[in-house]
Amino acid sequence: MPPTAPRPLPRWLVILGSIFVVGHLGAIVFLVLGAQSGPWPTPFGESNASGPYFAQTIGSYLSDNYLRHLRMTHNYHFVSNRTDEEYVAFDVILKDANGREIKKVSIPDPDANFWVRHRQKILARNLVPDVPVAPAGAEKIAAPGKKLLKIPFWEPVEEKKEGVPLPNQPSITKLVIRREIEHLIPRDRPVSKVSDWSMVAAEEYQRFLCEKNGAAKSDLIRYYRQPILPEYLAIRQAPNSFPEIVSYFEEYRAPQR
Amino acid sequence: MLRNAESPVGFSSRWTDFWFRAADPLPYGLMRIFCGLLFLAWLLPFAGRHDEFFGMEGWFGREGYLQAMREGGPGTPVPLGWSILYLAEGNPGLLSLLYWGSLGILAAFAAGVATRITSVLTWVVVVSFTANPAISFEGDFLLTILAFYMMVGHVLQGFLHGGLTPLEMAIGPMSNMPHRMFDRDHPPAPSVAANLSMRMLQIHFAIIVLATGLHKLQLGRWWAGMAFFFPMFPPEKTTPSDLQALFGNAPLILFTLSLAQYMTLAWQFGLPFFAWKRSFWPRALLIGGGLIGWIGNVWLFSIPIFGPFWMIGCLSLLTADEWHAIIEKIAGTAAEPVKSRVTGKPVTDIAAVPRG
Repeated sequence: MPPTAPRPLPRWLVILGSIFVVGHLGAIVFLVLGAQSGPWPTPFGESNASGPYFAQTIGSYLSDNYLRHLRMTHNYHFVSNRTDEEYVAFDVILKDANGREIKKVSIPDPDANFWVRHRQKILARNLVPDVPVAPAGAEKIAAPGKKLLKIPFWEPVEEKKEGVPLPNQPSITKLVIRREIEHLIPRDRPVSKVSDWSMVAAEEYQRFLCEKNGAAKSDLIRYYRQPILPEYLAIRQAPNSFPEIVSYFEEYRAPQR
Repeated sequence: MLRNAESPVGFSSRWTDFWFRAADPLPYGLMRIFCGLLFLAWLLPFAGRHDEFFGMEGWFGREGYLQAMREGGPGTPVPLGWSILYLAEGNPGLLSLLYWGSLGILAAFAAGVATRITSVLTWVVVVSFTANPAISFEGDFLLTILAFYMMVGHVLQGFLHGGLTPLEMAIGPMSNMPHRMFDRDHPPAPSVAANLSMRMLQIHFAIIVLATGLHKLQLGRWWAGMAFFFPMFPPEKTTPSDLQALFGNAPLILFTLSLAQYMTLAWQFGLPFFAWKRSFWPRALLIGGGLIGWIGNVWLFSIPIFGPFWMIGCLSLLTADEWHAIIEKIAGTAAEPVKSRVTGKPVTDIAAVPRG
């Protein structure tokens, strides 16, 4: 037997519900409308464009005061829509106090299940992108009794780094971190460095793995490959090898307990 | 739009009918089961490794969290804020308790147990486990959306004219449990809250599909029809000889990939035009698109959450009468005419039933 037809809602409740529906979905629409678009070509290179000002203003107000509390602040411009993603992975080599290797941990772990491996890929992606180092201005002089701050940046190396095995292939570029006073950083080529965020992530990962495995220190090695371009298929020409960049972060020393 | 004698006339009536009509809660109950299973599938694979992914002594420690809250970063799309997991800082036992307790809550919610309570707890669990800077993934946002709409409807369900006992008023209708959901002799009372939540989920889903489609058109690779090329040839697996082996079929491959990609875009932009139509082809397009999207996301992109979300979004657009027809077919009792649970009339043609 079907249930008896329900009584309609009181009018005041319909009005209240309608305000909620319009307000809630309106906040989402304004958030989406106010999102940045692009990247578009500009005379200064590619750049994102701001969303319409009215939508930005209303959207950010509703986002800060309402959607944030519901954790609904995404504007659905998903990063994964950019399908030309690079490959990023890393190894952490754990060592005892004498520098002897205890264990090597690879992320993403090929033996992990699909869901865990996906999260491990996200962990690895925290280690990119590198950021360009701006060319130095005038030479700086340290204050009396002080030393100038040395900036870490990536330096290509040819020789094998001690204690760390390297694949021996010509398509692999090896980078290590070098620290130098700002005006002494090379200017004859583009120079990049690890972003602050990636540095935090790298330290956190090594801290965790050292604690878990009782290691005194560790090396983090990042593997990076650019996406394969469809143009190779279109023009039916491919290079002999696809380049890979292997980057060695500075040795991490676990705090003494 | 299909109209019949029962269709409301005028904007105000149609508005009220769309959002605030008491509807058969079966589709909402099924969405709860699907969402509950998705939440479980999302959280359960971390079993045994929950301390490394969610603990304050895991991949991302206290310092990392503080840094993420101060500066954010490319890996922090989900806004951090409160999380019940922060209570377990320095206490692995409590973290394990919270993790396994959360799984229990999600299972109870999916099973329709005390839904007025477990729906709120489910939202708290989903929000808490997504507040993680190290492994936060933009797909996690979609889970919080599902959890929110599941919470709204279940919290409000049956408060007005629900005919609930005092216990049910406190913990939620017993009719949400699977053995009661499909009981033809004692169908659950129609619910405004269930209808309202389903409508909000449907519209929100349509906004997401359109917004992400428009975003794709801002990217050159999507215009060029080459967006599917990259996940098919991942840099960690593809060698030059792999590519060279395909040179003979290059035109066919590029033609197929670009066509498939533009069909995806057409589906996304077309969704608002066919999502609420209930004849065969629009429904085949809706469900077929959701299914292909799911398979594509897992097989091509190796992304776990988008596919099931897409499918749940598509399924949320099916009406109660359509669900009954599907269930009857699955149960093999199609010989008996399906009756609308609201009107009580037999449903002979899915396209001819009133909107629901």
